Amino acid sequence: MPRRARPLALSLLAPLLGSLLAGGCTREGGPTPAARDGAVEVALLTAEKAAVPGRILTLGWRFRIDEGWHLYWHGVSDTGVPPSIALTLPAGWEAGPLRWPAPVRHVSPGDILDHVYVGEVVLLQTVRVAADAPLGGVAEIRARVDWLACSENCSPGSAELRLTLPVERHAGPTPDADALTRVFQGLPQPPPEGLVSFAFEGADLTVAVPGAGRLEFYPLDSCGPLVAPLADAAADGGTLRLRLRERDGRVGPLRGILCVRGGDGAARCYELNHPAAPVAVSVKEGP
Amino acid sequence: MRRATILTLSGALALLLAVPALAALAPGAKAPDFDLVDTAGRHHSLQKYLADGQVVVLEWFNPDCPFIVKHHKLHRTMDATFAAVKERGVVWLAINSSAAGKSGHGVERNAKAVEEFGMTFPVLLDPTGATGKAYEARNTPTVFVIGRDGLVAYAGAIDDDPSPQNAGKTNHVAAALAAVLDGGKPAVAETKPYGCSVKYAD
Repeated sequence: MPRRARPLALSLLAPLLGSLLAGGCTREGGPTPAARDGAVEVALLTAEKAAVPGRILTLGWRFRIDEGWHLYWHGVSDTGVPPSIALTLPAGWEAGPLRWPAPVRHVSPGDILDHVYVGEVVLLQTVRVAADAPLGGVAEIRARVDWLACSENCSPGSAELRLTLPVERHAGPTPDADALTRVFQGLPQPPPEGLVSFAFEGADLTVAVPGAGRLEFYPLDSCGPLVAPLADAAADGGTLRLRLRERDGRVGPLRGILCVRGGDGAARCYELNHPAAPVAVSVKEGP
Repeated sequence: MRRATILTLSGALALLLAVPALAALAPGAKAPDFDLVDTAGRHHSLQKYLADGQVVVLEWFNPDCPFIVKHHKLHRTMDATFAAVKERGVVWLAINSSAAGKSGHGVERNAKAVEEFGMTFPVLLDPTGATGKAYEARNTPTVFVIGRDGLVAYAGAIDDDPSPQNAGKTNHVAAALAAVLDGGKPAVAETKPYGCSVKYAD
């Protein structure tokens, strides 16, 4: 096997970084690659201490955001732009999609609605290590991370991160593994059967979760299925009445995250994916 | 089982039914009139420009927004787009709806920006936000092309790259202006604007 690994640019936007040397020594438990630019510090974490050929490696992109600033979710917002990550992996490795935790609503004067992260957010991504990655070697992961942080003003930031991992037959957990597992468990999941019901009345869709203390819906598609997300998409209680934009006699589809807050204030978030429907017919679905 | 069947179709439907976002005053709407003062103290009335038979471009503006810096300094998209149609009866107006105490507000700050960016068109001040809200402008920049009929012909982003630094590949406003000046309608009349929030009063 060649000692020199060729980088695989996985993002169309990835800059050509030239060939990378994957050789050299690395110590386990070395410093976590992290960088700060302006109001944001970004770090690349892994759940595993080593890369195992043919197995999954879990990456966490941890953003620590100064108080008063926010980063943007990847779904619909009136303003801003979500962080982007251009990943460069050794040859034969494959990256999965970024997994985004549920955001929070951020409303600015002038009816401006954004979906953002404050404080800290970890984006998760799994990577499949090449089956023929040479045991005993060292693998290097490089990334160019770009983001827009906003408070009263907005400020673009970026960082170049680099992580080296030994390639071994087995990998134990890193000290970050538990935290990454908790992030994974907190990701929006498909709702349990029967939890959410949908009822159409004309172009209005009522989303109901009986007993919920508060519902918030964060739309994923910029194609604008909602007439008034600011007014409609968050309410106390167990129902949301969403006015949908009618087009050619149909409304929807509706894709996004539904966060359900219980009486105790704790939230669980679910992936909603409701198909387009004709407007004329009233349909009640679910329990 | 009906629901299960529908859900499996939803991904395909999402692709088929994607429609443009409606995030500002929509094309076809009558452009709200305004009479605003620029950084040099001159009045600009939409009514008057339309009466003179001009096509009017409005650009929501804030010199402290990185997306404005991108299009005025890094890539000069706005001035270049204007330069290409300037001789064909087009007026381009930047409008700043930042309220007092908010980023990018004030005559002095914007007069400095006109100079620093080498702008070839004026910045009008809308500190009450009345004009911005009439146009439902939420982003700097948001661009409107108003035809000689006084109707919004195009509303949305200047181009197709929402990053704070990269130049776009397609200039939607240039395409819309070309269509309007040739007496037609833009093929793309509406896009989702991108940028900073307009800094309206709390």
